[in-house]
Amino acid sequence: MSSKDMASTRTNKGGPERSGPSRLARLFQPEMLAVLPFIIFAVMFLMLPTIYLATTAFTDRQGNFTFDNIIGLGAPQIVSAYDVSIRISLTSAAIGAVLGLAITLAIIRGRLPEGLRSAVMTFSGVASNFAGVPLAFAFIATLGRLGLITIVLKTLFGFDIYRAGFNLFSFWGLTITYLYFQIPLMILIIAPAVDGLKKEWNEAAQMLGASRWQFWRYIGMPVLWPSVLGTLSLLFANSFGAIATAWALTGSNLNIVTVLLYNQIRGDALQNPGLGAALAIGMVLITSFANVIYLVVNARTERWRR
Amino acid sequence: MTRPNRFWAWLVFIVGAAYFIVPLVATFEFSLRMRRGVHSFDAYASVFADPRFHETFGYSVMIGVFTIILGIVVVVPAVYYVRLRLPWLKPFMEFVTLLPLIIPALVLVYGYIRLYNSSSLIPFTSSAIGTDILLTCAYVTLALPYMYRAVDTGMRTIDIRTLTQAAQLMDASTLTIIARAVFPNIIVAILSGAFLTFAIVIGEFTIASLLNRPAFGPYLVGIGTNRAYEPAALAIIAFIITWGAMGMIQLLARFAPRTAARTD
Amino acid sequence: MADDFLRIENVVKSFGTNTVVKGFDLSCGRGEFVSFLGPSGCGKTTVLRMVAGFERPTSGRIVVDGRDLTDLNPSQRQIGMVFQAYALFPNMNVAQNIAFGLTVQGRPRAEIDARVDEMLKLIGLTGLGKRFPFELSGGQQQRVALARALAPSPRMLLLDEPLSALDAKIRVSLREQIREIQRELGITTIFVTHDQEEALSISDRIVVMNAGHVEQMGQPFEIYNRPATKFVATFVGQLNTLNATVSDAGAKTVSIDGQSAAVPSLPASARSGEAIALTMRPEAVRLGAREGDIALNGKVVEVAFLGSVIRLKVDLGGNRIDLDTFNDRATPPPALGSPVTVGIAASDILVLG
Repeated sequence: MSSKDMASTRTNKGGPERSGPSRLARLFQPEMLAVLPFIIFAVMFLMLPTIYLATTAFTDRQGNFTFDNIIGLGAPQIVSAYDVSIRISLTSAAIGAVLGLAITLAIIRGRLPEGLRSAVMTFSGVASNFAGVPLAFAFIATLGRLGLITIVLKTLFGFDIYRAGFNLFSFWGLTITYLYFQIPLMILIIAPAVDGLKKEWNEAAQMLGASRWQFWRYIGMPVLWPSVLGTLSLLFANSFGAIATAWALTGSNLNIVTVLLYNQIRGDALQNPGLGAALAIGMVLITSFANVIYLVVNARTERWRR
Repeated sequence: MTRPNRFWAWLVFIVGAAYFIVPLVATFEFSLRMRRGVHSFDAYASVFADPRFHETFGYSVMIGVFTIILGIVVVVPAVYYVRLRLPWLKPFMEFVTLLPLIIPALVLVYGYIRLYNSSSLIPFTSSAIGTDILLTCAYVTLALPYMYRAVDTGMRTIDIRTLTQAAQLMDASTLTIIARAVFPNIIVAILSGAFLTFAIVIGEFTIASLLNRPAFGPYLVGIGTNRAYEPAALAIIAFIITWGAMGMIQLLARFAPRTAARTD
Repeated sequence: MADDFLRIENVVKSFGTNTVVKGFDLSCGRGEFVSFLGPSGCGKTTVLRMVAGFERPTSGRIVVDGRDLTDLNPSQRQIGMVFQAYALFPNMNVAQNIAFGLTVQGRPRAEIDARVDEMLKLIGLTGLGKRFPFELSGGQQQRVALARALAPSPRMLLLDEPLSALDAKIRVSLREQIREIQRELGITTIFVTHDQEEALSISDRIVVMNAGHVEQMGQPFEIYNRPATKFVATFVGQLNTLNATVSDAGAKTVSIDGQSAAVPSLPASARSGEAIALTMRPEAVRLGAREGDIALNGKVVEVAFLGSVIRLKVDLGGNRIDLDTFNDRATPPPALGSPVTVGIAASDILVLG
């Protein structure tokens, strides 16, 4: 057994196959048995469902091929849903990116006590997972009509935010709630990039006469912005696909794509499974596109980090 | 460059900290307001007295445990063998574990419902047990990226390839290698992945509600629509559980075994 | 005093209760190449960073070309610096990196381009202007870093262990190149290193530092042949130690393993009958004693053939010393274990404090 293992370890040492089993034969190695559960899983629960939905999107109620569902995506209710979803996602991603970057810069380069950095990173790890129903409850308790902040502002400062037009169960309410996991996600992902801004670059720039602003303009921002863009993309996709928080907070009041799809799945709200599938595929295309941007940008910045 | 830096940094930090801490404080305060005029733990008492709380929480915990076990069975052997014998499969694995992050859970569950309903080849949804299995598999899929990354990093850190070759040189059988050399060293990584999976499963709402299972997530939403103060108490409880799970991961990170040399 | 270009006056640096630099004084003439040499933690980099402006001296002054720089920011000092880790800006190509000092000054495009070409020629990388740092080797990156530091025509050049991150061969060729460029431009330079060979080969003067204070300051020849303290003697070059006993403190005679010898001088505290350590360089020990030498008998215990130099280890009773001799095509080195007589000129014995 040992010599056979040694032989196969030798042939599979990364790089192109020069000797060893042919491509097809590789699929039938005994070791593949260990990977089989993974592959079955990937196929059954990731690929097949998605492909099936993709085909359903092009199928009408009788089972024939059609473009009608895609055209049906042009319905005002659906276009509006996409519009609101995109706007919420862009807004929460942009604000999340800016604030997350600011906080990351503060804890890494702001000469704050070392302990703060690890505390923030740990908290971010937790907070980025705190999305969903409990988060909605937390914000209702904070900014709802009887929320602590609402009451404090009313009693201490005489300022009634609801009278002034604010409503938690609205576009901005949801955006502010989404920030609770967008900002930590930004911090977690952008921290390595900010770490990568070497202290020596700062010093070299200073010795060459650059002011702080000039450092950021010529070196800091150019080095960081690809990562910021990539992460922004990720935050966008994250927000676009979120449903639980929105459902618990705004229910069906806010017409966003995920809520629309949710209602469709629950009770065929669109009266058309094909249209629902088209809706879902539309979602996947948007989130895939955003993720591709992230991956491409990530690969490019790796090149610099030598 | 020194003085102005620290002022702005502190300002940003304090504002940020406020944004994150205030909701927690507010939620806790809200949860104490059940008894008129006085702060009390009545809401918590109400929650713990609710039989449906125990039912759904117990159900989610059970599903969580099965998810973890299934996740380990699916991920660990695959990662091990890909690292050791089948490196050409790595890009495939990386792609697959990226998919759950790209395809929203909502879309996946829609696919499952249409694909595995009563009239299909594999009718998961035609029975309660079948749907439970489907739910578990869905959760394994959701947790796949995190489980994979935890186990993969764990195996990379302890240089599984050298470990295996050293054991082979001592003429150990494959089973012995896995049981004695590999498993003890990656148990910490697996536990990390397990805690993350647990955190994901406990709070999950979308899939559980669409598959109509009596899980904790849908229970939370139900409480939210009917009660006023209990939701806040539940949010605090959920937050403590998430903290607990993450905290365990941090703790485990300290006990993670490490070897000096890394082959990749 | 008039041509003192750089004056570091009684500079002290403490971090809390820890004094890292204890009273550093230095005067450099214009165009001089001075090395700060010492082990890690001796304070050499701290002094350099105080000259650069990244650290504020706890007390003392730094004066360059008549101007007191002590309170100025690094960006106001017009001093060029080269770092151990190159620190090239990764998002800019070679030309843009070199141009950076002039770009932030707002110089016209034409002037910048001309200067960049000039610098590329100086470092021998003409035509590589469009390359990015990650496409260059370590040696090339460091040369670009040098060009970048020199492009804005600074008053002074500081180099913080610039060669430590490079391969041995590149280290030698690059240090020679640095010295050549420095001579051509006539720019006052401070070079920090822990490698004594580096310091010896290219400096006009060396400042040997240890634990925050200056052990000795002088030309390489001085430092090597007349080390002022035991530390300098052992840190710079190899040192042999012979254990002997003082026979007669007044007559300055000692006894080495039963053999009597006269030494040029003894420390003031030496008394007859006391043990004393005599030190000398390996090249001061000869194979075969000559007229007037202290002759000692021993056995060869190790032969290292280094090419042009043959390094022998000779066991002399209770002492073991290194002996360096040049390779001679006609004469093979002594065999291992063979008996030898070595000769040491009394005048070559170092007297250390």
